[in-house]
Amino acid sequence: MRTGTNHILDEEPDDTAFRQQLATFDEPTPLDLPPDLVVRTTRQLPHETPMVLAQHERTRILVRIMLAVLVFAGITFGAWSLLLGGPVPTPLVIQLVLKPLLGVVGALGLPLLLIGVLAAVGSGVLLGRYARTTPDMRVSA
Amino acid sequence: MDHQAEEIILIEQALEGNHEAFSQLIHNYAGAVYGLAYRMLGSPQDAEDASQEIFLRAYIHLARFDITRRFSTWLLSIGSNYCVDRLRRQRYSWLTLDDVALVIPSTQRGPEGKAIDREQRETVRQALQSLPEGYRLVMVLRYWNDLSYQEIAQTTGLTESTIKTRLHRARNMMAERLSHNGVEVCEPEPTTS
Repeated sequence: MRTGTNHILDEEPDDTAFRQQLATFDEPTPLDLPPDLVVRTTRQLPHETPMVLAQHERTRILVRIMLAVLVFAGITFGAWSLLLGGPVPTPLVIQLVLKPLLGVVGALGLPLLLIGVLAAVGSGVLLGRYARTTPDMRVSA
Repeated sequence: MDHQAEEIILIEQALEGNHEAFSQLIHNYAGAVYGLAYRMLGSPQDAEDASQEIFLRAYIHLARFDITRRFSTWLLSIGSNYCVDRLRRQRYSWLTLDDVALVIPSTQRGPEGKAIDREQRETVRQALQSLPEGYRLVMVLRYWNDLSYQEIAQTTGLTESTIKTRLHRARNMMAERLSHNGVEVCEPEPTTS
């Protein structure tokens, strides 16, 4: 007798039975392709080679990263000092982030903080894995 | 020359911008890609648009293809991701009257054998369409594209045990839905081991 989830791991009988069942419905049946699908798709291909397209993509990614760094630096150091040079004030963002963190470390102690950080990272990883492996159970129309 | 070596030559030619070589690849895999898109999306028009888009994406990202992998698995992984994304986008769009008309089950039975076959296939199609997309994908890859568990894992990025679990649940759901349509689905005999 099959117990627990063993029947899922040893699923050959179910697999075979389902194939037989599909066969009674005349499935799987090869579909008729739309006429000229291959020709129409080929006509839509870009003129550039995939190598050139990959280079373009790399350039786009690089530009995005540079823009992101610029925006971050602008926010952190202030657009004014970036554009005009001069003395860079203590970054406001760093002050805002570090001060409360140092306050927490002082109040709770470093080991407790490390445990908290580890627990938060672990939960994030598990949640991410769960979100990736769990299918959407909503039934589509 | 074996099939894989021939395919690698076509890919190398396509990488240099040879559209005829890529067209040959499209020709070889149009059936698999169109079949996946049709069974995932449920309409011939959507499947046609999706197939064109999948091949276009494959061409654009061909330089990323790892030649040690199977081209079919790579192509179907692009197709799977595209179909799932498209279904998710559709969920947030409004239904038109045409869309509603497409999902109303047909109750007419044709007098000829061919019509009965079509109706049977339509029943299976509707049962498949009613599955959640994550379950539908593994069902289509397993039973219509005939991939092994390992190939489905490479295509979807899921573990083999997750795939088996989803297949098990999806088969049960399909059995239930087919029986709602008056079709009895046989359960396999329980094994004694």
